[in-house]
Formats: sequence, C-alpha cells, structure tokens
Amino acid sequence: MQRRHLLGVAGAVFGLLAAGSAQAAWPERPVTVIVPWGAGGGTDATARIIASLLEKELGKPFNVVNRTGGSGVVGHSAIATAAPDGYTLGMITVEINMMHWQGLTPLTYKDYTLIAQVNADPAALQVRTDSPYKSAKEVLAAAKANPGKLKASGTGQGGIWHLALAGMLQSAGIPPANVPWVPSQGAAPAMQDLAAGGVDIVTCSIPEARAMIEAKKAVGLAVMDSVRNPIFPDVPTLKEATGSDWSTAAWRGIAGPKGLPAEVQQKLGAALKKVYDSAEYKKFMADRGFGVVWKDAKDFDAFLAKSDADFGALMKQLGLAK
Amino acid sequence: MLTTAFGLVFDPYVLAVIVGSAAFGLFVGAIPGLTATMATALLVPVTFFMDPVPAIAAIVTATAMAIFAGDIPAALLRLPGTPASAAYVDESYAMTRKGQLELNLGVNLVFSVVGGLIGTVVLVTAAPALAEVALNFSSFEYFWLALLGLTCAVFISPSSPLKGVISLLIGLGIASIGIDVTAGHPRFTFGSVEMMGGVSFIPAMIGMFAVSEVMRSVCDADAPLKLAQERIGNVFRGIGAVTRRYWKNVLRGSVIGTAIGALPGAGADIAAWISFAVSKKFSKEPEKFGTGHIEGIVDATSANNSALSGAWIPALVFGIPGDSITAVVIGVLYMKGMNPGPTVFMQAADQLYAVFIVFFLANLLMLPLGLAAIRLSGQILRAPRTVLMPIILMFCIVGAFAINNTVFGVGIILVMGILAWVMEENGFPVAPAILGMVLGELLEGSFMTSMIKADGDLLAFFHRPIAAVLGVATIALWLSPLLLRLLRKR
Amino acid sequence: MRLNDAVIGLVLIVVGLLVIWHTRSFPAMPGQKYGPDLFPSLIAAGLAFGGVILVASGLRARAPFVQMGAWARSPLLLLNFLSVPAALLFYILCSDALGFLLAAPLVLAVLIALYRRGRVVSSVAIAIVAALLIQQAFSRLLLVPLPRGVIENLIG
Repeated sequence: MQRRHLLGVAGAVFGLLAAGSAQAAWPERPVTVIVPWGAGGGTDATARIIASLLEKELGKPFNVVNRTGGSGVVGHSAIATAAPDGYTLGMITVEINMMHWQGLTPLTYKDYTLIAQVNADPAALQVRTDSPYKSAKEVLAAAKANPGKLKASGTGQGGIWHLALAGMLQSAGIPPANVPWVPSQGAAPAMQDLAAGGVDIVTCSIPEARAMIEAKKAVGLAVMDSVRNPIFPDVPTLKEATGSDWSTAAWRGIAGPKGLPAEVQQKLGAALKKVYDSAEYKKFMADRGFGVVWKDAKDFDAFLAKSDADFGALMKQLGLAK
Repeated sequence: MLTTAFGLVFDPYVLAVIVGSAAFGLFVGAIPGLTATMATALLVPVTFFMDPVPAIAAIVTATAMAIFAGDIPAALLRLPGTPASAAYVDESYAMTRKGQLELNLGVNLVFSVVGGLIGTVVLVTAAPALAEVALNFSSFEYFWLALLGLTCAVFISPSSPLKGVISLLIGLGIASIGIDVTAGHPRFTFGSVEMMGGVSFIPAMIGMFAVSEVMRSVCDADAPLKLAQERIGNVFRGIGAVTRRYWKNVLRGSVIGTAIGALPGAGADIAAWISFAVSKKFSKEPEKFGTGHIEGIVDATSANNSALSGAWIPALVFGIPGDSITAVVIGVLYMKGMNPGPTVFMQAADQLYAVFIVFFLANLLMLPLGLAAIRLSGQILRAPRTVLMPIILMFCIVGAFAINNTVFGVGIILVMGILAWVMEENGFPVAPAILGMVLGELLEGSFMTSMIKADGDLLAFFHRPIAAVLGVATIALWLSPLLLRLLRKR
Repeated sequence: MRLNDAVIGLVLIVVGLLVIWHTRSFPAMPGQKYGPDLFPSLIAAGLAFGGVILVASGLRARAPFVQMGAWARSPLLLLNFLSVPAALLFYILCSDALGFLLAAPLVLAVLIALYRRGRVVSSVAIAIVAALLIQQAFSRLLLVPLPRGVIENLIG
C-alpha cells in the first residue's frame, strides 16, 4: 500500500511538473526544425540560416533535422503529425500543393499552422551552350513542330519544374506531351545530364542552374517571372521572350503542425519577421541567388489556397493528378 | 600565391579547427550509423561563423578521418562504421579472426593516407580536365556502370554463386521499396508514409552486419560472447612487406577510387566495392579472398579515401556534387563566396590553394591521429563482451534513429538483422545484398530515364561512345568465363 | 537455424510470384514502353527462378527440412537469442512514451544482467552510465533529437 501511495504522489508531482513546463514561456528548450529535403540543398540551406538566426533571436537552440525520402512526403508528414507544442516546426515547400493531387498523401497545406513564407525562386529555362536553339521562342517552335523530339528534365515526375515546363508549353498553345519529361533526382543531376547531352532542356530555378551557366556549359533563355533575376540580368523574362504570361516559382515557408498555441504562433511570427528583415538573412539569400519573399500567415494562406487550386487544374490536364 | 595560401592554413586558429574536426570525424566515423555525410551536415552550422578556409578545412578533415575511422569497428567487430567500409568488412573481420588485427588496421590506416594523398594530387593537378570527362556521363553510361558494379557481386561471393546472386536480388528488391524513381508511384509501401521513403541504406547495413552479429554472438554455444582478439599491438609491423608486394594495388585502388569519386553518380562506397572486386578479379591468388586476405583490403581502403578527394573535382569545377558530402560542401562554398565553377580557380585562387594544402595536411595528420584512435578503440576490446554487446546494440539503435530521426530506422535494423541472420545461417553471403541496395536505384533510374530519352530503343545504350565502350566491356566480362570454357574444351 | 535449400527455394518462389502478381496493379507510364513494374517483376522472376534451382538441389541433398542450432536446446541461450529482437521491439514501441533516458537504461540493464546471469546492481549502474554517455554524445554533440520523456523534462 505504502509503495502504491508513493507512486501516486510521484505521478502527481510529475504531472504538475509537466503542466508547469507547458505554461512557461515558449521556447524553454531546444526546438526541432524539420526539413523534408536533403542536407546541402537549397531548402536545407535556407532552413539552416533561419534556424541559426531564430536561435539568436529567441535564445534557445533551433536544430535543423533532415527527414528525407518519398519525394518530400515523409518530411512533410513528420511536420504535420508532430505534437503541436511549438517544439517541432518545419520548412514546408511547394510540393505540399502537389503531392496530394498525385495521390501520394492526403496532406494539404490545411494540415499546418502556417507562420510565414520566406522565399520564392522562379522557374527558368536552360539549354546546352551548343544547343541549336538560341531563344525561348525557338525552343517553343521546335517543341511545336516536332512532338516528342525534345526531352526535358529538372526534377521528378510531376514535380514543380515539370509543371513549370508544362505550363509554359500550354500557355503557348503547345500540348505538354510534345516534350517528354525525363525524371531526375533533382535539379543538379538534371543540369549535369543537360551538359552531358542526355536531355535538351532543363527547367529549374536560377540558383540551381547557376554553376553550369557560369561554367559556360549551359545558357539561360528565360525566367518564368514578372521581373528578371538580379544574378543574370541579361536573361529575359518569359513574357519578354515569347509573350507568354506564364510564371511559376518554388517557394519555401515555415509552418508547424495544426493547432499550434496562439502564443507560439505570435511570438514565432514576430521573431521570424525580424529574422527576415535582418541584414544577415538578406545577404545569405542574395549570395546564394535565392529570392526573398515575405508573406505573413494570412497572406501565405490566401496564396496557398489559390496556388493549390491552380496546380490541381494543371495537373489534371497533364494526367498527373489521380 | 602559394605563400598566401600557406599563411591561410598555418594559422593557429585554422590548425586548431583542423585538429578539432579531425577528432570529431574519427568519432563520427567509428560509430556505426554516423556517416561522413552526417559529419559534414553537422559541421555546417558551426562553419557559419568561420572564415572560408577554416570552414572548408573542418569539412575536409572530418570527412577524411571519418572514412578511415569506419574501418576500425569493421575490423574489430565486423561492423562497418560508414558505408564506405562495407565492401571489405567480411574480409577485414576474417583477418581479425586469424589474429591479424594489427596488420589489418595498419594497412587501413597507411593506405587510407596514401589513397587520400593520391586522390588529392589528382584533384590539384587534373581537376578541370577530369571534370570535363565526368560531365559527359549521362544515364546511358551510368546504366553500364551500375551493371558493372552488380557484376562485383559474383566476384565477392565466396561460396555459391547462386546464393550470391539471390542475395543480390534480395538487395535489389529491397531497394525498389518506396516511391519509384521515375513514375513517382509508391511501391510495396502498404500505405505507410515511412515506407514511401524506402528502406534507408544505412540502417539496413547496420542491421545486416551489426545486429545479426550481435545475435550470433549472444547465442553462440561454443564460445559465448567471445571477441576474436584482446589487444592491439604494433600496427605498423608488416606494412613494409605489404607495400613492397602490393604497391600496384595501392595505385590501382587510388586511381579507381578517384575516378569513381569524380563521377557525380557514385561515391566512396561504390568505389570500395568496385576496387575490391577488381582486386579479386586480377589477383594471382583469388582463392584466398574471403579467408582474411589483405590484398583486396589494400585496394579498397585506398579507393574509398581517394574517392573523397575525387568527389571534389566536379564539385569545384562545375558545382555538381561528386557524392553526398560534396553536395553539402557546395552549399558551404557558395555561402563563403567561393562560388564553384571554372572561375573559382582564378577568383578565389589563394583560398583554393589553401584548401588543397588542407587536403594534404588532413591526410598526413591522419597517421598520428588515426593511430591514437586505433589505440583508444583497442580499449573496448578489454571490456567484457557481456557488457559490450548490449552497448553496441544501443549504438546501433541510436545510429539507425539518427539517420532520419525516426524509430522506423530501428524497425529496419530489426527486420534486416533477422533477415541477415537467417541468410548467413544458410550460407547466403550478406555483402551482395548490401551491394544491391547501393546500386538498385542507380540501375533502375538510369535504365528508365535512358528509355524515356531514347523512346524505348534499347540500342541507344550503345549509341554514345563512352556508353558503347562500357557496354562492350561489361558484356565481355560476363561472357569471358563462358568463352574460356569453350576454348579449353577445344 | 539451417533450413533445407528446398524450403528456402519454396519461400523464394512464393515471394517472387506474390511480387509479380502485386506489380501488375502498378500504373503504366503514359507514352512509355516500360513502367515502374518492370524492375520489381524482373527481380521477382529472378528470385523465383533461383528458388526453383534451390528446390531441385535441396530435394537431392535429402537434408532435414529444419535443423536448429545448439542454442535452441539450451533455454538460457534461447533467451539470449530472443533478447536482441525483443530489446529492439521494446525500444521501437516504448521509446517515444518513455523518453531515451528511461528506455535506454532499461534495455541496457536487462540485457547486461541477462548476459552476465545476474549481478543486477552493477548491471543497472553500468546501464545508467552508458545511457547517459550516449545521450550526451548524441543529443548534445551531434544534435540528434532523441525522444524526450519524464527524465529529460526533469533535468531540462
């Protein structure tokens, strides 16, 4: 009996301690930031700079953890299914608006507590330096004239850069199936395959194509954005090059599992805004060539709702949606 | 310019960073489940606040040490510390059982250093030219390379070729679990999100080697919980003789290692497999392989360290990672303003030469520090096995967890451990299964994407010049036993 | 545990056929000759074929179908053998709820005491020290987010 009492008391003490810790000001212990993509990539780099600046801002370690695999499904699921206590956050990426259309996961952006969007990298069109096509217009003309001849790559089947290509073709009145997609493990291997002569076109973001362009192995023909990219100011926008209004970008944002306490949302949102406005963040992103975009939770939500619907429509037309 | 570079390296702070990251790399490499890639990723936040040279120096040193250190638990416990040691773990442990632990560790250390140095020389002298060649590899070439790699399974299975091939197929089958590389269709996942990510290779390797070994050793009725050897003596005895006998192997291993490292689709682990198989194929005494024979280890241990330097070739010249380590490194290079590309040789020449000096320094430093690590790890041999085995199991658990920070990794080591235990009890070698897992995705991915590019024309595998050479070589290799037999009959 | 080759061969044939049957449900790639079912079904066919050869050789060898090792006849060694998968299973199921600093010492203490056949007090002490060292190395130095539980929350 005695022993059982003791256990009861101990349990009560633990309970109190646990309750007490929940009420203390967040964050009072290290926070985990889940990245659904591998170490060394753009998402990883962005998450790491933000984590280190948040750590400075909030005084507790923000540890970046890579949860890779399954084309992003595994990591995105891990963020959504973590305990909503503010100690597990994550960097969600554009794929969250695409994976559920492909039937890979039931998860959508609605399964997260959105904090803010911090980056967007527009798609761009690259060819080999010795390619016969010298402009985006010529690429489109060739795609129209010879269905199936040009092969394109940049990411996996149904990934964001696949959609970028399909959307571009469609906006010019060319059936997207005219340019078969060669799936790759990412933009870097695709750019290498471009240089090796394995594919004819790569659609990916400017920072991903940068090294190969600077090495004179590839040339950028157009940026699928409303403005030119500061790294390569000579590369025209798609509208300048072909008249098409199509634009798309890969974006990254910070989010937590659904049901994050209001206090955490508010404190994290404010700290993240400070981080975003800091000179360190701006310089880091500029050095890597990453675009910076800020959307707070409300704008982020509105943007995601629209982009989700757009992607759904496009993927259905492409036969990528289930 | 060189004096500036030397000044950048021989600075007390930089030297301190190098020694510190060397110790870190040795620790990470020696623990199964923690890989050189992970060491790099963990160093990234630390390097945020460093100048370019110490930042890169930290990564170069830690990874070189980690790849060597992976050999230590492989020799002591049949437990590869990093995937790059998996190719020769059985050979290595067989040597330990024969009482040749010292020679084995000495060879691992000395020829890791030599391999690293040769790889570095190639990196410094021929990077731009080699990168041009590596860049010409498309999916067609990688397909043949993967097939060549699979051929190694036959060479590395000691006993029954049939059981070796079945083991290889089991590995390939496991590699096909998860979202498939081309169509994005989830295969054999049975609705589990974790399975969509596939069976991570590193927990699988921990399970197949370490957990199965723990299982075997705790239920061994004859010698319960006994390790092969209790103390480590002078590891440098006999090195001279090995060098005189096998210096060609060292060169061959280093060259193969550097070349494979420089290919963007293959790294230190594949380099070790291929050079080990090449060693057996061209050995004068291939029958000794599998019985604890040093020859293949000489090749492979040189190869995996030279591959590390080789991987920097495309990374520096084109910003294309040569392996998973340089994938992280490229990010750090950008962060430090040393943007990869041909221009880095002009724009950041001082810093680049400083990095090259660090490569040499790190590899030379491996000799004393690696020796210290061997001595230190020798202590664990004195721990009672009854205590050691549970602790090894706990390291396996934590290491498998750390790969993706999920207990799913622990589940993988459990299933793979039991699978490997059953396989080995029945004479199926485990190494080919590991090889299948290493190469499965490359093989399928390169075949499928090649077929999309060629509109399903199989002959496209011979259209490009490098692909044609590789293809003919592979097929010749397969047919050679058959042809030889036919010739002999006549 | 030595199984007759015929038994293993039979398992391989069954697994191979099951996989081939399952891959038929995989979708084809639009406009492509080869789809995601190609490699798995080739591999499965290879396994089944290998299985057939094993069955043939196994039946010829006339070995017993199952031959257990010496450990299976000694209850203590059997316990040793089962302890490894049991420990892993326990960790998988309970580490999240207990936290590393409760689950790991528990696993270690039971295994060490089992293998040493007693000496419980010193085994528990070793287990606690080892778990603490591992926890410090992995979560402090290597920043691995080991599962947190009651003890972690107490010591902060």
